[in-house]
Amino acid sequence: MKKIVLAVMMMAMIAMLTACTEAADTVTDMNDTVSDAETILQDYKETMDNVDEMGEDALDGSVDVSVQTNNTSLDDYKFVYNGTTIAPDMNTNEFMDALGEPLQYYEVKSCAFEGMDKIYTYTSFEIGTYPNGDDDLVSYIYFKDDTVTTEEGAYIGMSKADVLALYGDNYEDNAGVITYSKGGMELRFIFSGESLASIEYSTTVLDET
Amino acid sequence: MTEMKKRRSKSIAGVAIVLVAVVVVLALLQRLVMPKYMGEVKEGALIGEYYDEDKDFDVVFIGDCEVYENFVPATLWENYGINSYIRGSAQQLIWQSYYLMEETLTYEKPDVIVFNVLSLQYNEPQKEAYNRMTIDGMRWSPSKIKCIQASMFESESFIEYVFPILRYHDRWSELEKEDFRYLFGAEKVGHNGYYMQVGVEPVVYIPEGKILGDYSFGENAWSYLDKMVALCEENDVELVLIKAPSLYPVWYPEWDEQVISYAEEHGLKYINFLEHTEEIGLDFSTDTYDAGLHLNLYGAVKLTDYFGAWLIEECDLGDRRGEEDLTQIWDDKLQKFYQQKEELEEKEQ
Repeated sequence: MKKIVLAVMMMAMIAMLTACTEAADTVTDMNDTVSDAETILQDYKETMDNVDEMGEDALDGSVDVSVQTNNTSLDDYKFVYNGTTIAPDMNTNEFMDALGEPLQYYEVKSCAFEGMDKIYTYTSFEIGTYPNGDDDLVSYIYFKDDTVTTEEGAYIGMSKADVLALYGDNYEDNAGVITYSKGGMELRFIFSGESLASIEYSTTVLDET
Repeated sequence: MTEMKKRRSKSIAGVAIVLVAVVVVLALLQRLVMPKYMGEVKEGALIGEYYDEDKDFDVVFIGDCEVYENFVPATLWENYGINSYIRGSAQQLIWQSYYLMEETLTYEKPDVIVFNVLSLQYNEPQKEAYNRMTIDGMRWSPSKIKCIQASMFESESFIEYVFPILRYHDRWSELEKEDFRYLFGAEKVGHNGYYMQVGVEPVVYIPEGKILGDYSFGENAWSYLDKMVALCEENDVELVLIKAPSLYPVWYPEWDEQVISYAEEHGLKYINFLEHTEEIGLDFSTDTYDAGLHLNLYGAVKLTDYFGAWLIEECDLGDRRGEEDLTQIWDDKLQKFYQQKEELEEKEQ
């Protein structure tokens, strides 16, 4: 009889545990949702503060105003080419027309997943994208020559000392790659000796841990 | 007293029935929510298909999509009488290849194991979804357990691999027809592990490779290649390293040099097929279905024919087309192979 009671108790415990797990999942989901909402509100507030600030500056006539409607925060690293802003996780719809036809285009079909990664090659830089529903978002921007610069002024061929002077000491140095991180993106520099050989903006959205 | 015994027996039987019912329902739910890989993305079904085979292969290929899309066991059989199988999966990482090799060697001892070296570039797990496409299809064994441990991200837990329902339970809201249709078994996707594609998309342009900070392969990746070498030696199996002639992702010369040195040091044979595309007769305007990432059937047949001749000559493999039982098995397989070829070609037109 004891065994039966024990078995019934175990089953009840399993049932409770399952219920608890589900309940815990639900609570976690709710917490996540609340947390997401808080983050969105915070981002929105920061963006609006920035927009207000920029609006005031614009009224003063001190700066040009460009409004971003993408996933990139105004504080993130971004590449500006002929007045067009491009940054990781931006929707390509927002800048493709302005950039014009690429020199080359390549579709990288995923080995086993639906959707395509795409590579748009322009004279001096390359843009890689990843699918997000019906949209394509920027996964990376890669410089191909020294005719383009980052918004802060780094270009291929620049000395390491000058790059560090521009961007500061808050970087990670891993396997020859110096990485500055902001928000959900990274700006990576690779040096050949003391000279800058590679510049790449990259999203971290696709990284898994 | 007898009445009490009867009541006790009834209670025990009742509890047992409830327990069995709970287990059955959970097992069914688990099967229902697990991906079936029978829709647009079929590659996840490949690994599990090996277990249904008569495991007596001369050559077993192990690796990522560059093996299961570029080599055709049917051609090795038809042209050379080599009985082969591909244990390939999408973005199969080198430790996954090692554990698949270890597991394969518990079933059979092929003469040759062929490993595609592209995955040496990865020193750590890349994507859980890809891991799942290799691991979920493996049968439970010590190799599978070690494979999970080597592949998991910190955010994952082992129990989710033991009970995939814990991982996939949120798929309930996105269940599709295929989840019900293939609840108790899937259709066969591969032909001895080969995934057939007959489309044509010519190579027009291949992006240049990005500059890397360090071209050295990582220690973890090397350690698993060392393990493969040791395992093959222990089992008296010849390990052959290859790099398939896929044009993208870029295979850097600096990577190739490292593999050449390693092969020389360890007395292994290594062929980089990218350097033999002319001899093979590959025409990248007709022999690829995705602009150079993978070959289509026509390109894969050319490559496999070239490799078959190499295997016969270099690895001293015999022609088994005289074996009656094996020939019967292959007759059936070839019929299905050509039937699918015809169907796919009709769809392409």
